[in-house]
Amino acid sequence: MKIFLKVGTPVFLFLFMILLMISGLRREEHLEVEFNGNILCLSCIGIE
Amino acid sequence: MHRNRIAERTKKVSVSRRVIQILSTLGINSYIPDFQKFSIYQGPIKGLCAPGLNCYACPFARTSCPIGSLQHFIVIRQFPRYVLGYIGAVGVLFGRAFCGWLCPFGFLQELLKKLSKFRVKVSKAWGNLKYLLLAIMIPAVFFTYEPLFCKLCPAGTIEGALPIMLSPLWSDLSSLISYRFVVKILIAVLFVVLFVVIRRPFCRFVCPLGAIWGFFNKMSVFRFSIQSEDCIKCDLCQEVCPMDIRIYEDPNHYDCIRCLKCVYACPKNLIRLEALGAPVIKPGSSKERPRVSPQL
Repeated sequence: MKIFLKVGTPVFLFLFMILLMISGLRREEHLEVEFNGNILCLSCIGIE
Repeated sequence: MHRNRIAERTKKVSVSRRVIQILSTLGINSYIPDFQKFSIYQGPIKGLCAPGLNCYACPFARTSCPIGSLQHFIVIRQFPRYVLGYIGAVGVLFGRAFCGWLCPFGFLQELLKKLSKFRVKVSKAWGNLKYLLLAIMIPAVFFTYEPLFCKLCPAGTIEGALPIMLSPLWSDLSSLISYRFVVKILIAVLFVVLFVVIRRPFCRFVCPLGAIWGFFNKMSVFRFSIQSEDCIKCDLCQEVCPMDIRIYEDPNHYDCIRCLKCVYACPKNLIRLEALGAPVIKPGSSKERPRVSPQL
């Protein structure tokens, strides 16, 4: 049981995170939203 | 004398890590911008997260900063599934190892520390500051609709603002600077000074990405284990540690970046890297590395 928890927990968490990552890549389309224009980036380097 | 012996023992892993850090930094920042416009890269992989803190405002950056992206999704009120999944997957697998092997900003701090042998010891309590900042940052970004951490982050100033200031684009942008730009410059200058006298101060006291990955250190696939009953507490592990940790007190300390230097520096070969409990790097098993006694 202890070994199962020790091995199973990270493996389960890793698979969950990978699925979360892939689902985000598909649906959020953050490539378009995030970097459409330089305004956000200029803001982040300290320019209004 | 004993410094040379430690350097000799950790040389192989130090060189390997340095090569990987250089390749990572160059790979992440491999875009050659149009030097007239100096516009940032906006290609298809810009939406992918960098393996560390690397500002996406940097004109050379091909990827985005995980913390910048996280804040962006909070601002636009979308659940950051990709960013959380990425940070979580890396954390579950490696803990904070990306900080030690791939993060360009961590690499910069280590390079600047080499400029001076002078070393300021800082209280371990300051390490809690990054958790406080993380706890404040997320609700603050949510309520202000602003990526507040980016607005103060020295990585953005050094990696983003500095190259742009040196470009022809700056003549148009300089009229737009405000007090916040001055504040950012002052913060960056302060950190550069700290980088020279303190080991990786940004990683230890400020970095929210390191704070998140640090939580995974105790449950990640790759972990350290120590035969602590045989430890002679010579503190050689702390002396070589870029994060100033006594690894024998907690082999999976939140701040450990898995640089492996302590594994090779330990004179009793007590520290080993494991994957799900099975040894991956077991010092002393190699014929090249006989056990040695510390000479302090």
